[in-house]
Amino acid sequence: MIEVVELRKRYRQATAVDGLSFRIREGAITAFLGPNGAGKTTTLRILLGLVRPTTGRATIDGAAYRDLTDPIRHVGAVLEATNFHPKRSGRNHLRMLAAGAGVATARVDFLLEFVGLADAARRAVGGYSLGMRQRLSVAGALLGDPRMLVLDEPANGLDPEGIRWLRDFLRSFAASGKTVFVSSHVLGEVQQIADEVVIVDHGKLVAHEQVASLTSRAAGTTHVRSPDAARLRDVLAREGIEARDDAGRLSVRAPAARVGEIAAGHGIVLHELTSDAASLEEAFLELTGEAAPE
Amino acid sequence: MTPLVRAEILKLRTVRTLLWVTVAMLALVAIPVISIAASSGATSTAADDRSVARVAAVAVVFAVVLGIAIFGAEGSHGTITQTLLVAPVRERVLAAKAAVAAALGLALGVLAEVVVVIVGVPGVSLNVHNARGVLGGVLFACAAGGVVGVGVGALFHRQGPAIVVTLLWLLIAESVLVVALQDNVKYLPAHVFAAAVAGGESGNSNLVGSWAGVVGALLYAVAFFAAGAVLFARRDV
Repeated sequence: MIEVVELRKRYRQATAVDGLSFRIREGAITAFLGPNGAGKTTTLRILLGLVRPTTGRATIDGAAYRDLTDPIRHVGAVLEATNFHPKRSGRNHLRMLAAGAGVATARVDFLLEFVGLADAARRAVGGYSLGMRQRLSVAGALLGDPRMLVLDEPANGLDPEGIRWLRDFLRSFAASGKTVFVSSHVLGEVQQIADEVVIVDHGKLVAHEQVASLTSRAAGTTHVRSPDAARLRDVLAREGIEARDDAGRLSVRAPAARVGEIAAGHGIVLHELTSDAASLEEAFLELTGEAAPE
Repeated sequence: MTPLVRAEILKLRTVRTLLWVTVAMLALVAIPVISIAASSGATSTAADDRSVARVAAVAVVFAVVLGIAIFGAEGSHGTITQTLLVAPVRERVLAAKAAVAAALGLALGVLAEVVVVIVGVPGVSLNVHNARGVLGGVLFACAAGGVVGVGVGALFHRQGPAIVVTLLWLLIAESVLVVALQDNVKYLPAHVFAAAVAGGESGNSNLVGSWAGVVGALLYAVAFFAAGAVLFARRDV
């Protein structure tokens, strides 16, 4: 289990992580979201023993990463897709990691096949596309056949086919009872695969809940048709709710019940009152109050 | 052999750094020895034998550079991140690198001495017995130099700046510091390593004695390794 307790990381000029605490449920896909600079990568690197926390702790199965016996059998990690020697072949890169972990070369060849890099295995990584490097990173993360995966923006650089491959892989990984903790800025993609989300902003926890619960709680878009649309828009504006004219009806960023109550309170007749559930992106915007990660 | 040592050897076998370092070192040893053999007659004194044998000391510089590359290449290319995910106890990673650097430094020293002997014995009637102090000192200094290189690499984290600063130190800084330190310059690293390969011709105002040089080289290796280990253990990567 991944657990973060009162984690803080302060650099000279800035606080990257500010008292962050959460616990990741086993056997689920948990997305780690936040605007750029929110502290996601720093948190993941602290979890993996690459960055020292100022205070607090981040543990995997109750121990700091450096104290784990055979850490790659507990957790596999996909970080930047740039951490390769450009002159070394993909296969040799994995062999080098396998040698350090006491993993057989046969697993290297199996994983190269698994991530679709068998044909390029003996080519220098310098000639790989970003998507191929991401696949190589995934292969590296799977060397120890871990029970958990920690991934930092794994969809970066992947083409649509690669994104679909990654989505299917993460789903099948979690379906076998294993845990995935993935940071991503592709919110539409996250909504398709994640069971839970941890949202951080300015290094602090903003939300940690199931995706379905988060999106149902957030205001979706309510569509209203009224013969007195102009007055309804003014009334909503006075309540601080912006309404947009959308092909003869109003689109309102507020729950349908709230819009209906306001209309009734002012005796405004409605011909239609329907709502769309909020997307994860809308929920994210509401919680962070910033532009959604692109 | 531990998995980490095996991994370090594999890292070197799968890129060409070791090949280029070895080729460059062999060239810089062979050229002066062949040139001495071509222009001079047979050595007439034990001092001449030691002088010829000291050409092999060029290998010490290459051992240091190789040690820097063993650590610094990982910092420069970012592969240190993956290395630490596999082996998060940093002291063990650094110890494996130091062990490999010492062994390969020693191997570079052996190669350099083989070239000196192969060319020197027939070319200038090199008396290996007279030069044994130099040859032994070169082997030790090469092994210690490899460890120093790993320590320097860990201090700088990236190989480019580490190699540039080290070469500037060896080629320029200690010569300039003579003005300020005078006789005390003999305690600086390059002078200590020079004493270790002097083969009994040191122990004057410029160099400490040969055995003191050997001990000093060992102490510098330990000091650079320890400093690198402390910084590496604390550094965010």
